[in-house]
Amino acid sequence: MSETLTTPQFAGSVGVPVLEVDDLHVEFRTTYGTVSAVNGITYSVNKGETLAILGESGSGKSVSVQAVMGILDTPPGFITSGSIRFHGEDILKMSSHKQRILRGPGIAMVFQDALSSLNPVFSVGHQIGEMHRAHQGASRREAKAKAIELMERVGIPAARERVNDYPHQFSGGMRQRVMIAMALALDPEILIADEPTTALDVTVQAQIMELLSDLQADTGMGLILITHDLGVVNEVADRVAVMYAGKIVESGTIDEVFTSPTHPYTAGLMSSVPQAESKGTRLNPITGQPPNLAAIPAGCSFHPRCPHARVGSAAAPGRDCAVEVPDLREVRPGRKSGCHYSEELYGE
Amino acid sequence: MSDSREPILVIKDLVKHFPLTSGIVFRRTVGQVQAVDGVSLELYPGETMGLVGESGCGKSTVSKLMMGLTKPTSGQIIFEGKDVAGMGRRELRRYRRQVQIVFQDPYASLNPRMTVGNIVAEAWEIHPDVVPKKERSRRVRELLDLVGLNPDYVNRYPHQFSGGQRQRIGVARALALRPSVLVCDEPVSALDVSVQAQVMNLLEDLQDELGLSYLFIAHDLSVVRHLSDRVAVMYLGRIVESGSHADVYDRPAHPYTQALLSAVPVHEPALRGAKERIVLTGDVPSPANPPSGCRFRTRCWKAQQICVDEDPALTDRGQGHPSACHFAESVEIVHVD
Amino acid sequence: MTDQQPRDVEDDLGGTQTVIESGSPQDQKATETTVAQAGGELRQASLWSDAWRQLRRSPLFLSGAALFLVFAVMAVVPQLFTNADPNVADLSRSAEGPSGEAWFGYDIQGRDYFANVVHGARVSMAVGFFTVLGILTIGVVVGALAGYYGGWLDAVLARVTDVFYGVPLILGAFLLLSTLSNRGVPEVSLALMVFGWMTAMRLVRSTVVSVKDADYVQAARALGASTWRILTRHILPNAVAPVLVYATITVGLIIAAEATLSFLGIGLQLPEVSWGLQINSGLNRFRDSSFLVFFPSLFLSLTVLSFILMGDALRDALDPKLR
Repeated sequence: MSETLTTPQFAGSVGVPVLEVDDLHVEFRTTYGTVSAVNGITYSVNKGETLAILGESGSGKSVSVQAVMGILDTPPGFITSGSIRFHGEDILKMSSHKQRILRGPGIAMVFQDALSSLNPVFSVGHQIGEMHRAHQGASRREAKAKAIELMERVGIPAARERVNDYPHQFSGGMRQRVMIAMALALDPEILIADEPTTALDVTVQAQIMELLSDLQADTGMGLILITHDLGVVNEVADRVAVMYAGKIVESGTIDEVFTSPTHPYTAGLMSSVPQAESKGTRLNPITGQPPNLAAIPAGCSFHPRCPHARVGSAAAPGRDCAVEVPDLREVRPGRKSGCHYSEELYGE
Repeated sequence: MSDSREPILVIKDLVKHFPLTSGIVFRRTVGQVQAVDGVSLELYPGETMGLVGESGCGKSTVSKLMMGLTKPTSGQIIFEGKDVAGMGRRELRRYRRQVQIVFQDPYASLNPRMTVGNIVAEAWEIHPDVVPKKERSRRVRELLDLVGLNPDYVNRYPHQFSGGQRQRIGVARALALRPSVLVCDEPVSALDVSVQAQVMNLLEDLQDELGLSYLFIAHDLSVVRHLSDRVAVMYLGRIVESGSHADVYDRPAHPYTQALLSAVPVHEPALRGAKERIVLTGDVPSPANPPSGCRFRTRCWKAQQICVDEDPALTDRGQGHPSACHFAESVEIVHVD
Repeated sequence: MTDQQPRDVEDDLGGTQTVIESGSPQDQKATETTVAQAGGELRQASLWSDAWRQLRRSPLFLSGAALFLVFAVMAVVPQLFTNADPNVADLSRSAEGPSGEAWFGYDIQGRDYFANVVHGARVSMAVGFFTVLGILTIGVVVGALAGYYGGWLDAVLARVTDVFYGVPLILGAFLLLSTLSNRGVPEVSLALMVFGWMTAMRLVRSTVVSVKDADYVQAARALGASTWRILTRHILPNAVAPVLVYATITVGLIIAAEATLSFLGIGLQLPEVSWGLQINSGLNRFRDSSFLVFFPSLFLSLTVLSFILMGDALRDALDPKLR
């Protein structure tokens, strides 16, 4: 706990952050107007820890990591400001060649849809080994041997026989393992997993989440988990950042955020999920629809759906939810909330 | 409680095998995909029957069979004493008024080139006697209001709505014929958490208001747990366990149900690690070539020789509700306090 | 809420009835916005009525339609455009260039070229229009059958289409026409139709295949909709857009194909006049009298342009997402 002094926002985390994202803004410029997908988000990931970025569709959670990975579609997507520092060095200021070298050994990514992320005309062994051939100049034979090793490591049975199979010959869970093997090929320090289990059945999801935790324990890599599933976040993450309309509205450790949320959106999400004891009762969901990112409401972007919003004369000076944009600020040690009235609503 | 009443709909030994063919002009049947293989269910008036299973277990085929969209290979779907497969045109029309469906994907289930008003009113063009022509525009507005949409949106097109709103339109369409049974095929699985809860509340309200019976098909155990009175668990074309909500969730007897329940991530930090985690190995076998005997035996930690030789029947094995396992025993997986 | 709803609805009914009937587009637009603002629109909108409302306001469509109208009138009553008799020849004025007296000059036989080009509209328009109409009919019917029913019917129809694809349009029409002794507009159109329907069929077939298993088609089936209703209400409206665009382009192609056939001596026969015949006979004198090619080509291009403008606007109007 003494580390709290050096990295006050993450109680319990160790050492210097490997990846730091600072005030990142991403927008999409389309013919129909500008869509602000990410509006100033800040987070960091340490060695060996798991950060979950939790959000619903359209919250900007995927776009934010696409920007980190440098796989944003440009145009229409543009990083308009902010920095992404890897070991203190700003990736955005690097040459594109250096950025490419960084990817793989530095940061790797696993996608939601393994079938469309794998090339159907190459064998999985070829695709896993390609990372070695491209980054380390390995020979065909070495690459194949490494591919088999990786496939065994991610728990694909009979790896030696299956190394020459094609993606369509694998089941959904096995394809996701192949994707993870590819991402692990160069021992990344940060692994970004974008909804890695959303397309999978719950029994297979359990297998994949277990695999990711085991691999993390082995390698000490930092894991960024992008998901909309509160259960998955609760089971695997150390810290969570909740995103809404392109902003982080709340962050902290899992235990704290899930047991005592400090933002009405997080609280609303928690009560939207059916629990064992909620049987026979009405759920208490957030009303309304998530905002259109091309027309984000003024002030706090959540205020039209917020049961506690204070507008006009009801608002405290300088804290009108429909006018003033709330900052993400520390409300208790290690906890940040982007709600004007967090203290009033949820205590100190 | 349900025993005293007559079921509104009975499914008996329903089987659907899809032939695997090769060749285009000269077709040969090279195998059978056993999508549904002997499923029996009963649906009572005003109740919600949950049908849970993972992808490929055949639960969606059951919904297609119930809607008469494909014909069963064998078995019966009996509605008010009559088998759907043996129904004539007129009887089938009557059946369709009584049994309607809500689909999973709110983006694919509405015709992009039709207005919301026309989508909802189409049912009355097919069944003109349900609502007289003059009344239709008023009824459309009433239905939209009923499902929680602004009635002034009748002339909008589906793409102008969000996923949750589209799902409400789909519900309004299904309700247009005033059915008594609604088959809900994964109605909330494509929606965001907050919107999902809104639609679940809507379905519950409608049931209270209109006395509907639901066959609620889903892969999400927490959603099914929240809505269902009784639950059946499917694996590879068969029901492996069924019973009341409490039977299945609190005292699961079949290893597959136990594994399924244990795999669901819990939402409370306090419960993390509190439940025994059973991680199944391997994948679901292909329904074109299912294992002999018990279909779950290839992934089951309890499997013995008898599981290879003998197909376990779905009967009560001393746990107070039916399960299809030779070694059934009740285990509490999720601690609920 | 439910108590007062019916009364509101009745009130609105009275108001909107007049909206639908109201005359000029300006009126319509004005009332529409007020009704939309009031939020009480009761008019039962449909794809086609909405498309029509949009088309009436689309400058693209209106200019295309105006252009089309000019040529359509030209085709039906050419006398409105010219008093000159296209058949009066004065060989002394052969290939004389345009002048104030004869705007387009004279052709090789010394006939008034403007009158000739104007009179050519009828044949070219007729061939283009009827052929494309036939192509659309065959394409939609065969494509819908193959796509919807699938199976052996699809397999057989697909092979038949392949066989027709193997024969180039001009060659096929050439062979067919060479067996006929009388070759007028109906015969030429028929020949082009028989060898020109395949692309339309494939377009329709592929959309039907992609749409027929969509959930909304399943939903219509679950409501008890007939095959006819499913095809006409759910499947074909989604197949219309690509086919319409294709059709507008094909009108031009067909008019050009008619010209080629006429040039080869197997298409229309004299004394018919068509733009195709004019362009092709003008080609012989292209170097010294290029206006002989220019004027019929100009008319041909403007006709094709009118179809493309209308087709483009129609495609947009039929896609609710673009509204």
